Order: sequence, then structure tokens, then C-alpha cells
Amino acid sequence: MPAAVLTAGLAAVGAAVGAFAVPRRLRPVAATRLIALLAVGAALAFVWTLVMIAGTGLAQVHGIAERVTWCSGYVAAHRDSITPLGVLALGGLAGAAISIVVVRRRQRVFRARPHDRELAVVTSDEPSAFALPGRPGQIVVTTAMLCSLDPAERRVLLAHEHAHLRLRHHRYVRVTQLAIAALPVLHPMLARIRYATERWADEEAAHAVGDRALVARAIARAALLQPTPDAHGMAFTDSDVVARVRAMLAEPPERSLRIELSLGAVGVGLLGATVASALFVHHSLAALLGYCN
Amino acid sequence: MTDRRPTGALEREVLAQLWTMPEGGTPADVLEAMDTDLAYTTVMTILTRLWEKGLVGRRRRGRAYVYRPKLTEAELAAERMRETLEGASDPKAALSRFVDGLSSRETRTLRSLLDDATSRSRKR
Repeated sequence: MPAAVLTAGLAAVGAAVGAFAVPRRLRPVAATRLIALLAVGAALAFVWTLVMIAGTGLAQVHGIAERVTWCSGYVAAHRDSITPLGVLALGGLAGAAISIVVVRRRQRVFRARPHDRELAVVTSDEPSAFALPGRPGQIVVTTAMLCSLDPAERRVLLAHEHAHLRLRHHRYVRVTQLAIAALPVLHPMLARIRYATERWADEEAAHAVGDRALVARAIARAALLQPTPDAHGMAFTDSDVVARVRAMLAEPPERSLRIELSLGAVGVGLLGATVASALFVHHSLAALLGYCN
Repeated sequence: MTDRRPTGALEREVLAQLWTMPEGGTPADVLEAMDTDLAYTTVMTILTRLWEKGLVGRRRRGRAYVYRPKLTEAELAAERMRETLEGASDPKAALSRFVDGLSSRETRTLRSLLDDATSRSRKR
């Protein structure tokens, strides 16, 4: 059991480190998938670690340990040291469960109602555009945004939002949000996966219109239409728009197989380690339920 | 290359174009406003299809139809969604928008990048 806890705990740390190590310059399609894989892997391994610690902790109380004869040597040996840790782990699990439910509920709000038009135009003076996930998804654009862009730039905007829907980018973002809910140290991954999916949609738009500089122009023009956050007293944060425009003015990102494959292997390997650690403790779980005899 | 764009993309573009023309327009008006190398018949076909789907309205003027954008339940639902989004405590966390607001420093950087992009993109 300690070996299993250690394996899963190390897998969680390894996957989290891997997620942070995904370079910003990676092809957006690879970056998106790797960040989602590693974040979810880290969260799963973390939750599993907590389950095992809590399980061992629980085995000490209410006289369960006395009934667990098959594993009694192990359970009794840790009688004093593990219980407080078990309580802590239980608390962690409860916290993770609550925040996952809260995040999931918030995600469900932003969903297209059943409709027959992929493009919904909203009459408004605020220039805004976004893709609403759903079955089918929907592109929402305001009249102010449409009227401020020229036809070529509009084509970029529509191709970009359509790419979000077609490639289901919201799924990557949402599983990452859930992973963050379970393991809050992953929080920086939200901004990173958002950037990666926006870049991915930008590249798809460039492919559709056949002109990278045109995509750069459309993003820049749309961003300059937005009210300045400074003026509204909002916190100063660098948005990703400048980086996206620069990326579209540069050469298309090259595939770097070495980084992509090694990070992918790390993710799959650590997920495998987590599953393997579950096999280690199989008999302990049975012991917990009193089936050891 | 423009003519080989998928139908869905063309329908979106024509519909978006029509929304910038509140008074509506004939296929010829739309074609001219779109600043594109599409054929007249292509635009006409797409407008007819949009009308058949009930996405746009039309009335006859002389020999041509004038097409107008049409507000439906889908638009109203989208508007409610947008209001919810703008009212969200952290709209950035809720949904990815095409672009977010900029700081004033970024605005300056972006203006110079825009000049670069404009000179490089093939303006027709």
C-alpha cells in the first residue's frame, strides 16, 4: 500500500510538472491536447492518492482494523500515524468533489439552446463574438462586431468561431477546468489551454482564408474595438491577443516531434502508473469491505 | 480558391453580410458589399437557400428580391446568453470570446502590429 500511494502521488506530481512544461510555442493542436491530458492525469492521480490515504486512515477507526485480519499486519502497523492524515485526505476529497460540482454547474449554463441557425446575430453596440458549445453549437456575434470589420476580416472571425465548434475546443477547456477544480495548483493551466485553443482556431482560420496576415489583422482590429479594461478600473492583465497577432505574423509553427512525443509519453506513462497503483491496493480495498477472510 | 469554400462557410458569410445591411439588399447589393470574387448566381442561390430555411426574410422589388436579416427566437436566446456572459463575475473563465479587452500598453503595441499586418495581408 505505501508503494501504491507513493506511485500515485509521484504520478500526480509528474503529470502536473509535465503540464507546466508544455511550451507555449508548440503547435496549438499538440499544446491543447498535451495540457488537457497532463492536467487530467495529474488530477486523477491526485484524487486517487487521496482515496488511498483516506481509505487506509478509515481502516483504523471504528474497530475496522480488528476485523481486517488478512491485512492486519499492515493496517495495525500504521495505527497511530495514518489516521490524522486520513482525515485530512477525506477533507481534501470532499473539497474536490464540491468544487467539481460547482464548476460543472457553471459550465452547463453556457450552452446553446436547441436551434436551427448556426450563426446568431445579436443587435448590440458592444463588439463581441463567441462560440457557444451545444448540439449543435452556435456562433454568437453582435451587429457592432460585424459592422466594424471588413468582409475579409469577417470571414476570419466566422472561420475562427466555426473552428472552435467543429473541433470541440470547449471540451479540452472544460476537462482542464474540472482538473483544476480537483487540484487547484493547476490553475495556471486554464489561461494556457485557452491560449492554445485560440491559437488553434486562428491557425484553422488562416487555413480557411489562405492568408496569415489577414488573420493577424482581423484579431488586432477586433481587439482594438474592445473597451480598455484600464478605463474600467479592472486589474491589469496581459491578454493573449498581442501574442496571437505576433504568432500569425510569424511563420507557421513547426511540428517538434521530440517534445510532443516525450510529453505525450509522460502523460500516458503516468496515467498507466496510476492504474497500476490501483492494482497494488486491490486486496486492501477488499480488506476494507471486510471480504479478506 | 474562394469559390471552393464549403457551402456552410458561404452561408455564414452571406448571412453575416446581410446583418450589416439593416435595410436589406438584393443579391447584387450583397455581392458588391461582400467585396468578393463569388459569382452572382452563387450569392443568389445562397440567399434563396437561407430564405427557404427561414433564416432571412424577402420581398419583391421590381425584378429582384430584397433580402433582409430576420430576428428569431434563436437570436433572442443568444442575446440572453450574451447578457449572462457579460454579467458573469469572470467572463473570461466562463467562455472564450474572440478577443478580450486590452491594457493601454497593449493597445499601442497592437496598433503598430496592425499596420504591419495590413501592409502584409493581400488587400483586394
